Amino acid sequence: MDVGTPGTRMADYLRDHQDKVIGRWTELVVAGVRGRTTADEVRQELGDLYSLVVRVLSGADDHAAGELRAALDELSRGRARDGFTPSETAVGVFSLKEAVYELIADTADLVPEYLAFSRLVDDLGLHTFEAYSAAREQIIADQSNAMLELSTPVVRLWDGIIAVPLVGTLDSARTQLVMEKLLDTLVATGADHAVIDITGVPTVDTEVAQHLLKTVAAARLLGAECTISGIRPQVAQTIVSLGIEFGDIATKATLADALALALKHAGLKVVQALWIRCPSSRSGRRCSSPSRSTCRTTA
Amino acid sequence: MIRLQEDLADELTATGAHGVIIDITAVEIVDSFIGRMLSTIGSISRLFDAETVIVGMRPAVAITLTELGLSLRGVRTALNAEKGLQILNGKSRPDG
Repeated sequence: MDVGTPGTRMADYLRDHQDKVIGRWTELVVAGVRGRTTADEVRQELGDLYSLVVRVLSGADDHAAGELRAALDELSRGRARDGFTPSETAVGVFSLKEAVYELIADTADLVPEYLAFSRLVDDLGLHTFEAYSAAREQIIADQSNAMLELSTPVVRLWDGIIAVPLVGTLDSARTQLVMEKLLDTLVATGADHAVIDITGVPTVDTEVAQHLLKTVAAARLLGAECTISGIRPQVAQTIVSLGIEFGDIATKATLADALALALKHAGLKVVQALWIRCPSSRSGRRCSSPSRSTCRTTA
Repeated sequence: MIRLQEDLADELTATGAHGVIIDITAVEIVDSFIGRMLSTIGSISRLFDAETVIVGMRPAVAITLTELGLSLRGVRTALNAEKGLQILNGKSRPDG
């Protein structure tokens, strides 16, 4: 025991007291995560980490440090996905120090060894924290990508008329996606009218307006006409007070008005069917004939 | 592009055509020069009393032209050659 570096002596000590330390470590971690994982699972994970820590401390092989970091990465990513808080994740590593300290407290001659060990655990804790936040950032990026995909449907309203209902805040990335999708759909379906409905857009500032104008200009270059609909009262006020000019782009209050305009441009007319009581039917069924003379329902 | 302008002007004088359709379906990349040339062709054709319709523009091309701030004034656009012909035949809507 009195030969070798503090690291190897500590490694020997840890190897000798393996069961006790892991047992106490598991207890501390399980208490920290409040029953979200079982004790057996935690013991399994910590057992693997523990043997890696011992290998790193003993300095016997060079791969141990990398392996330990990879194992911690994996653990932190799992914790981040399962919704643990950062401190709950970091406590998993830091409580190893506490577990060892409780054991080592009465052996006064191991102080330098304990300090070296403590430094190692601190490093590992910081590493855990970094891995945890990297995993969380990845999750957030994935989610916003998924939201982008979901949030831009292009729907067909009529033959040759398509609509893009926009919901949520518009930023450059999203507008770009909307523009591309709208133009692709225009080309794919051969539609020559597009309605951009902004009922679900909470605020329109100069940037958003600029994006909308660009989209309309690009659609015009393809030979399609665009109408902007669903401008709410507050949005209208903002647009006017910001001095935004929509120029010769048609704007309508509701999607229905925009559809009516597009139908008119397409040369289509919606007429009300003349539903009357069928004169020939005793049951009083409805009949589609506009007049008695054309009714073909047999009595 | 310059050759195209000359050929087009010659052809317009020879035939007395009243419409020009430029199909740019196969054009994948544009720059400001091409964008300006398309407008110029439109202006030249108008001198011969012919209307120009550019058809088959790709979405990426449209986005590029918009980003360049070119809106091809004086030139009409249509999704495909069929619709372009409709415009030239006066079947399309009266406005725009």
